[in-house]
Amino acid sequence: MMSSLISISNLNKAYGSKKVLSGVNLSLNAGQIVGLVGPNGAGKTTCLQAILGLTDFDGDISVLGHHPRKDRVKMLNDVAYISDVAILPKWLKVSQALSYMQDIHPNFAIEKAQAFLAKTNIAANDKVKALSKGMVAQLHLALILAIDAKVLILDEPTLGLDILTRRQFYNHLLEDFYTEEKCIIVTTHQIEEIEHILTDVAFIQQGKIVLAQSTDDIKERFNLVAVSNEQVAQADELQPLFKNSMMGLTTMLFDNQDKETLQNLGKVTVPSLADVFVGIMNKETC
Amino acid sequence: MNTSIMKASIKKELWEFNGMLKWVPISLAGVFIFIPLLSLILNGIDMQALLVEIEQITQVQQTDRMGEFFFVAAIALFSPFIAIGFIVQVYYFVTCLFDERRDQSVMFWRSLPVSDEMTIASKLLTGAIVIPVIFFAAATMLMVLMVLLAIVACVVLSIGFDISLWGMLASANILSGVGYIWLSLLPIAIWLLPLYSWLMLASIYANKAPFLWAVLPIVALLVIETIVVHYLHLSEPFFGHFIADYFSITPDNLVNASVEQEKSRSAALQLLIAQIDYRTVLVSAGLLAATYWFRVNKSES
Amino acid sequence: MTPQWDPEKPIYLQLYQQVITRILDGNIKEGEALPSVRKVAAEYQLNPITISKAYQMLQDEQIVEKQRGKGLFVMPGAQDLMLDRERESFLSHQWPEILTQISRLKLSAEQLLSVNVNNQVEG
Repeated sequence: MMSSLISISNLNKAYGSKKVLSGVNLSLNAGQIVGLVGPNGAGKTTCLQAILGLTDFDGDISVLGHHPRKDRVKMLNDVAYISDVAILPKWLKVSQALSYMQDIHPNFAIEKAQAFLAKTNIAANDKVKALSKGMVAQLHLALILAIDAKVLILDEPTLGLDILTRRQFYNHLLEDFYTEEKCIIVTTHQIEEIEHILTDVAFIQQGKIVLAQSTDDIKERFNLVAVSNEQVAQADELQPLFKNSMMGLTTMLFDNQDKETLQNLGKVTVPSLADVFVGIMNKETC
Repeated sequence: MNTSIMKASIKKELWEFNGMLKWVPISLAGVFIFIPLLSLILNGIDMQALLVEIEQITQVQQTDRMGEFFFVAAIALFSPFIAIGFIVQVYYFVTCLFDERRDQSVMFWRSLPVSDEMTIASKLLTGAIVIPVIFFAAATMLMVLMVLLAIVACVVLSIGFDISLWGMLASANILSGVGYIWLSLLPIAIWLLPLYSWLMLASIYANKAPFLWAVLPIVALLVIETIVVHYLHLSEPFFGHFIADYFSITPDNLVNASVEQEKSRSAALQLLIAQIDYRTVLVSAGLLAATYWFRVNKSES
Repeated sequence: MTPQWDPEKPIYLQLYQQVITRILDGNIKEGEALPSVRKVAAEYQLNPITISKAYQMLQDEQIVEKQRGKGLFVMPGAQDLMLDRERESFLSHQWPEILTQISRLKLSAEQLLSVNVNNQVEG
């Protein structure tokens, strides 16, 4: 039932002597919405660009059965990309963008894009340079939705957009694009915002994947405990990933610990994805 | 090669450079119309000189020389268009692979299912063929306008003054004359191919100031060669002479060639074709291959 | 609008609960269609799998039924079924706890009944 749409194995990339990706293994199945989360410079953009064949790499990547460099054009028929570095050129008119996409893309349904744009303030004769940031994002999204790709790669797609546009973006993504046969991989800094949208998440730091699991599994695996001062020493023995003391209580993040044991130390709650992320990242840099 | 994708790609190039490709030819044609008009208004018509000219034409109009005369005039009309068109072409080639990297739209284009070969081929075709066609067309339309004016003049003269200049139009071989000029488009494109491909390479390689990257290495090479030749007492600066020789065709040469030789109009064409060498075509292919390599491997900033 | 989810309970359970509450309150009527998985996912900014889980649970509990090609519809008699179930759950789980609390705080019946449904103490 689950088929792998993207499989990455042993992905390595170096710029000169600087290693940007080390032994990345990741696979995306149909129906997954995967968040690739990591600090700046962790290698997120490089990883996505490797998937798209925009940069060369060492290792194996297969997207819908194609090699991103050797079969680039065929692969791109079913893959769509939105990135803060894949910018629509300023001189392009909306009508020209639609016309061009229709001519070169076999899966482009121009009526879909037009229907989407009809609900916005974007006119056919507008040049990209006349559009606000939010409108450019809408235009890009309109083009992508009309492609009906099987794989959607989003690299910080909502960077710099106001909250209304961001909400609408994910709204359209879920309502107009997503099906169980497709998969989406998205990187973002605003993890809280899309926490519930993700089905799976992968944490990446300094070019290595530190954690890759479904969001459901993560909620079961990690626990947040509010430990009183008297029990801090006892709790420390269980090797928390992260500690934060404030107002008489120390909040600790635990991985794979027995729930009952933890309940003896204090109130146990389920951490948010952001909590887990901060905890794991801190652990690595300690 | 998928023709509809090629057409769409060329259309995209024309959209990008739309302003320049529309207004430069129009302005040039406008100058050709406006200046004589202005001079006419300011200076009036010199009836004496005009009558003398008409006299000359009536004498010449039945001979073969009319065709020659017209061809030379046509080249004179086309030359500024070809020259300015050339400048526009150079600008196009130098920026066609540079601008998209500077505004970061290259990642957008490369995320679409258009192959890099197609992209480079479409830019080459746009610069080498489509842009000259636009300028040739502008010149041709101006020519059509002038022929129409000539027809009107003939009507006026024959009805009003009983002077028949119709022979002028008949023997001027207008269509074939213009046809020969259009035929030169392809040989010119192949002749200048090494220049075009060199400019494209500079366009994709440079991170800043692609025009300097195009010009300075050549200048440096010429200078170094001259120095080496001078100090080592070698026979000749090979590269320098080659460049001078290869690019030595000017409208003057073409006109002289067509006037001096017998089959006058095709002579210009032959002169052009003679300049083409299989070696320069190979060099062009090499430069284009390098351009392709850079696009595939160095597109990321 | 995106509701605030309690981080302690799985979201699909909270969604399930929400549908039940809405049915009990009469906001969703019997025979009415539930919005599509996509619509709910988009509106609440959740992933569709979470919604599907909640919907599956509703189907398993026979609160809604799938009508081919049309979606999920609240089954006739669902409200009554819900009422019975929730009553039973309340009486066997929540009420005993509340009773313990009432006796712990030594509240009288009068004090209890003077609170109207909107939590205001009358008189």
